[in-house]
Amino acid sequence: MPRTIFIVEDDPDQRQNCADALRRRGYAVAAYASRAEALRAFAETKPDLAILDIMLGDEIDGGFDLCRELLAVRPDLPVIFLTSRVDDIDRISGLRLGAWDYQAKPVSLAFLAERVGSLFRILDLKGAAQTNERKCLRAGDLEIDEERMQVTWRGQPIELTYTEFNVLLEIVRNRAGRGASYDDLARATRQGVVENNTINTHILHIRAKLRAADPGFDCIKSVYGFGYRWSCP
Amino acid sequence: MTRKRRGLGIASKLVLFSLTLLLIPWLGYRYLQEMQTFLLSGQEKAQLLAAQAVATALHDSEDLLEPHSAVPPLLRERGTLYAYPLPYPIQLDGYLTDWGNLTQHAVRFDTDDYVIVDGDNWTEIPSFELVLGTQADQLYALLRVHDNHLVYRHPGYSRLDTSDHLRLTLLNDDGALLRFVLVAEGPGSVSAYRVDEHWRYPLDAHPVPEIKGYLQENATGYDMELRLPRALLGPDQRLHLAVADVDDPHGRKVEYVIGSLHKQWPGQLNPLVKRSLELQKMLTAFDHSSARIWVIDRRRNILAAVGGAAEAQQSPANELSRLDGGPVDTALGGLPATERRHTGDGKGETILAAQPVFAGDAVVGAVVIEQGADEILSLQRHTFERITRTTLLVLLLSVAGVLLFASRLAWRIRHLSAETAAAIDPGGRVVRTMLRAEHNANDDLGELSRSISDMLARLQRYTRFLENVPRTLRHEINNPLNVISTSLQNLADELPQTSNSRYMQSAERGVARLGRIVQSLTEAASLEEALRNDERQVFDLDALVRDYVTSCTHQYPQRRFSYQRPATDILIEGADARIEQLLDKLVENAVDFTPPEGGIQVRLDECNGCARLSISNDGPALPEHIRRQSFDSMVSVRESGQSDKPHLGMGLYVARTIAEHHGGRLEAANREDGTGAVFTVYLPLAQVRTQEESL
Repeated sequence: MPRTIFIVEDDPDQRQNCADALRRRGYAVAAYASRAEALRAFAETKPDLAILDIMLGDEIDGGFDLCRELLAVRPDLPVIFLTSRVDDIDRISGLRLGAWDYQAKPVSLAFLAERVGSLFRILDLKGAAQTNERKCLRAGDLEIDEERMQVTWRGQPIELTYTEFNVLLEIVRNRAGRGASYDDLARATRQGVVENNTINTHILHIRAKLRAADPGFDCIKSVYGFGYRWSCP
Repeated sequence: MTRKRRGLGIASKLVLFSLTLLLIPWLGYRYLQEMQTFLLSGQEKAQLLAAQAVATALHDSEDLLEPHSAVPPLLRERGTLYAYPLPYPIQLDGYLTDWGNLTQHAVRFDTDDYVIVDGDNWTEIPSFELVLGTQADQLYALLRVHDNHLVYRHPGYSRLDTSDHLRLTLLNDDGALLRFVLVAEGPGSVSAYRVDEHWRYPLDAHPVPEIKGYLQENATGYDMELRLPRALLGPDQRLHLAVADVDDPHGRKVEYVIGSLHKQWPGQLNPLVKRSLELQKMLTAFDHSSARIWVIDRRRNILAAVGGAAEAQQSPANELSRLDGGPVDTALGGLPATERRHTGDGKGETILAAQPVFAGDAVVGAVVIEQGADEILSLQRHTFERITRTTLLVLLLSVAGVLLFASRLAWRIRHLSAETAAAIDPGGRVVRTMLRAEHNANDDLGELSRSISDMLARLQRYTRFLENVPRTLRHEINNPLNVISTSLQNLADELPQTSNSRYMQSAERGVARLGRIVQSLTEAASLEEALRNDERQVFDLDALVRDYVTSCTHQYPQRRFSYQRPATDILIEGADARIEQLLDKLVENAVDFTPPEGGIQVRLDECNGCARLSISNDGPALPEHIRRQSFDSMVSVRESGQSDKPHLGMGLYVARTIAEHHGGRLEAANREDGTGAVFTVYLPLAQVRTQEESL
């Protein structure tokens, strides 16, 4: 039985394109234009994932409200925001509501599909027994479980978004040489157009989360004019 | 943000302007001058009228003005003697001091006036000078005789003509001639004898007691003073004086006789003119203490004078000199005239008015009135002082008032100006739309203040709108962009043969480029907000720049990068990622303008409390007009199509914003030799460093 994905997007073209791309990859897609429509459908079906736009018609924060309502009913529902609103404040609000990821338009459908794919894979792994041997990447006190997209620092789990996870992974993977260049990192975010500044913002968030666990954390160094480097062993 | 005032302030201008009030005293002075002229001419007219009144009263009183009408006119004209009124009796002592300066008005008689001459081999020019004066009922005479051989009377001779002597002829009451000889036996008293018609023997044995005289020798001859009662002169008031000279003390013969009348009238007598009591009485009716009134005859002899209390003390000679000149001449010519004169001491001014007196058609004399203009002048002076005081006070008050008003006005304007300037922060944001200054004022400034508040409110709305433009734009563009982008991807998935099409690739590049434009717009727009949320830390700028330049040499292998390090570490406080972003923008800009194989020099040093980072590149110089604007958004000097990247001039704007956020500034200049452009960032050093130094 294919996974069911809810898409709530007021723009019919984007809704159609997104739905088509996901359907082509074998998912069942139910697309809605408004919050009310989505809520009604939600009462009857049980989607495995919701991709929400924030602005829904006249409702400026319609997506946020919808997310809150959906999670109230099903706290374990993975939600991805797909929006043209890229201000930090929106990004943070979205993630605080419990969303898995926050994607800025314009989006690459291939990347979106890949993201959806890895999300389901992680869900599967979480659901499966712990028998599988973990495939872990270690860098000093940092442990990255690529399969489950889980990061721990000195044993403490660090909650990163999908993008942040990929950025951190890229830096750690390139720790042997000069570091990860901005271009490498831009690719790792799996988004269309990424400025250096956006990367810097992600790094700031990653550092902030790690420092919340360990105030002395200082392993991600800037290589000015180039990118970032993992400086711990 | 304060600007230098270019010209004079309002206060200075108003004060300068109020100086025109100084014109008021000047105008007052002019007015007074005219007033004075007017008053003086009024007084002239009044004096002329008064003179005319006197002259009219004297009209046809020829006998008063011309008492000797029986005498032939020519003789009258040339032979009249005038007896000056004397203020006090003369001491008969041979000293001339009591005559005062009347001696200057002495009449001189010489060879033209001889009576008898014996022989013509004169060794000297015979002459004598005569002054007559009256006091009370006495007539005085002073004779100054030139005689180098004085011969006194010898008591042994009974003849009186055997020594130097004086011959006096009078007409008595009956019209008979009385002859007197005055002789002296030495310096001192002179005796007068009535004599026969040959001037030889005395008719009486004793001298006449009424006639007294005194002789005093001097260097050139002798002076003789005489006194006789006026009653002796009789009604005709005529007399004749002659000096007889004897030079040989042995022969004792009269050498010559010089008389007081021209030789053409032998045996005649001089008419004597003196102050006329009748006229004097008449004039008293016109007496006025401040004015002096004279009646003069045709020969300028003063017949009567009244008034002028102060002037009465003056000597008769002084009075005479005052009658000289202009108006008196004119009046004697038959026409009234006036003249203004400065008094002798130069302080005051007097007005002289003269009117002719007619007898029939002939002018027989003149009435002259002199009055001081001091009253008018002192009135003018007082008025002038009063006006000056008043205007100075008014001037002072108005200048003070203007100053106060202007200062207050200037203060209000400055206050308003300061608040207006403070309403917009250095970043151009409107921080306050309601000015407190002058808000409740009812005058023009209040109006201005309210207008400014209004304007600021509008400006704020406009600024907000502008600030929201990129955000709105991004949202509005991103959605259709996403439609295109996702449609292209779906198209490529659905029709795999299109995915490698040139058109598909162009479309994807276009979409990517649009995406970048929107992103950079957003970046610039949200930069300031983002900067405020940055975490700041102290870091070594040198290390950052060193790393950065090293990265650049890899990233842009076609450009030659060089870095000149500072002597010491340079610690600044800020967000390193932002400084990196700033460098990104400046280096991108430099790379774009540098030709392949061109050089880019980065240099960092310390400058008096700040860090100076300059990036200099080979290439074209910046046009002057761009130099100042290139940090504002949307200004770009790049030619379109030169590069794939979108160029909206956001780069330098971002760089400037970051520099300013760190308390520094960005400057653009050209290399002095014009071979390229130099962008210099100034950043303040971290405070930590100075604290360490102070420790």
